[in-house]
Formats: sequence, C-alpha cells, structure tokens
Amino acid sequence: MMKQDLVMMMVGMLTQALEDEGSTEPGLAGPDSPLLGVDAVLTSMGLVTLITDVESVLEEEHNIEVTLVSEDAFSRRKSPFRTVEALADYILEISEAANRPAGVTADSAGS
Amino acid sequence: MKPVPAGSTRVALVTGASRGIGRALAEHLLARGYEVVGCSRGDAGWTDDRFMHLRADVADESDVKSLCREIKRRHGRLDVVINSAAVASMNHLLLTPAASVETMLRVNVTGTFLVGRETAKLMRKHSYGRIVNISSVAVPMHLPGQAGYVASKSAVEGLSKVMARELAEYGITVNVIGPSPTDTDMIRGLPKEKVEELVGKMPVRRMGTHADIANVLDFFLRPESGAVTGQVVYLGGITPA
Repeated sequence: MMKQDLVMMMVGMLTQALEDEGSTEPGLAGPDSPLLGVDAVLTSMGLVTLITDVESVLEEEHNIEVTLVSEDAFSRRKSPFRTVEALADYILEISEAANRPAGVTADSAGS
Repeated sequence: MKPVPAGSTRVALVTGASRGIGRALAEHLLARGYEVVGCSRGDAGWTDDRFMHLRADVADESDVKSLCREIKRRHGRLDVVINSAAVASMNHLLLTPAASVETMLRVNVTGTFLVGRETAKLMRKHSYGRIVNISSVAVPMHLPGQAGYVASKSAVEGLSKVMARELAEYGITVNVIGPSPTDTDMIRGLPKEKVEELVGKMPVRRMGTHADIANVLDFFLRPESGAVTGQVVYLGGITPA
C-alpha cells in the first residue's frame, strides 16, 4: 500500500471520526491534523477508536496485520500518533519490518 | 446497546475450556444455544457440534490475535467472553518460587488482559458484549498459602473494573465471578483437610458447584444486564474485604 493511499484512507476515517464526535468542521481533517496534544482534533476516546479502526481496516480490507500500540511506539521521542502522516509513516515502517527477512535491517536493506 | 439480532446465533469464547470451570461453563452456554469457541494450550478432550476448540496460550499476544481472527473469520461476531483460563499454586510465601508467581501473573493477569483487549475490538463493532472474568473467594478471604494466586486474582478484579469503565461506551460489560472452592482439578490438587477447613470458614458451608457459577453467569449475560458492569460477585456467602 502506497503512503499516499494510506494517508487518504486515514484522513477519510478521521473525517468520519470528527463527524461522529459532532465536530462542526470535519472537513478540516488532513495529513497534518494533530492527533495528540492540546491541539488534538479528536478527544482521547476518539483517538482510541480511530487507532483501533485503522488496525481493523488495514487487516480486513488490505490484509495488513499491524499492532499500532506497542512499547516501541510509546517509547519513541517523536510519537507516531502525533499526526495522520506520522502514523502513516509508522504503519509503513512496521509493516515493512514485519515482511523483511530476519537479520536484515532497514539500513542494510537499503544499501 | 444493540442485543443480538433476531435469528442470529450468539457466539461465546471460553478460555481454559478443556476442563474445570471453563469446560462446565462452555457446556452450559452450549445448552443455552450458543456457538462456543473454546481455547486452551492443549486439546479440548471433548467435542460438541457447536463447539470449536483452538489451541492458544492466552498470555501470548500473537496466539490471542490469531484466536480472535479465527473467531471473526468463522462467526463474524462475538457476544460473550469468559476468561476462565488460570493457573494456581499453593505454597507458604517463604517457600514460593518466583517462577511460580510469574507464571500465575502471566496466565491469570496478562492472559485476561490480552483476551479482554482483543475480544473487545471484535465486540465493539456490534456495540454489544459481555465479558466475565473469573476470580476467587481466595481474594477477600486473604487465604494463607495463596499469595501469588491471590495477587493475580486481585489484579484480575482491578483490571476488570477499569475495563468496565473504558468499554462501557462500546456497550460491553465486564464483570467478575469469585467462585467458592469448586470440585475441579485445581482444587483436587490441594490437601483435603485444607479444603475442608476453608469450606468450614464460609457462611455457606458446602463446596461450590458449577451450577452456582452458571447462575451468576446467566445474570451477567442477560440483555437486561446492560447496566451491570464492573461488579464482583463472590459465592458461598463471602463478601468483599
């Protein structure tokens, strides 16, 4: 799945989530929409539901099995949940890592 | 909350379904018309037309995810979860190996957590679900010789209360049954005089039965019990500490 498709899919899901939360401007959802912090566009429960829905749609509609919530995700200096685009990057990173043969690192795979 | 659509068969998952309380409750749900998925680390050792058994270690995240994936594939829905899989070990604190405590925490607590988390993802899609976790009267009775087991089941109760709050908005209830000593392999492994001494300390001075547990289970599973969540019901007349 291409990053652009992934971002578009999640922007659509974020738009729906904002509508579900009664937002007056759900159309403002975009790749840079903040998902965490004081400027977060969703409530904390809205974010929980969005992350769970993203996992579910990736598995059911795209056959991509990922666990978005992990120690790795929480321990990163820059949270992968900070924006839609950051989350898309994280999904691609962990799904590629899951498909990579054991012992091959991102660096060596790219060299 | 949306109850099960008319004409649909309700689907239940029972962990630790190969024996003891898990098996008894799985058979009870079959008698109530459920399709039952059971899991345990080994073979079930019993069959039924509406019972499907899958091997899974409830404390293994990938096993639990695979289990839920299979339930979704075969049934498309899940209505009831009974977290019955557990291990117990009785020893004086001074003689209890750390590994024994770690195993109990892993299976009893992490297992309940993982199964609860993954099955809630399935159940929330229908805005309906019933999770029933199994504790023990050993918790409020602070039974000597069961430090690790009591610690693990206390954690199950705390976990259940938080789950109840967090999952309420998805129409999922989470409750706990604390059985009194019941005739299972787990209890048969204890010295007979210890069990008799324990039963003698209870207001209802008899061994618990699977029917006692099923009776409370039926109450928690009723569609009308949607407002009953985060509750712990002990059997045998024991009250919360």
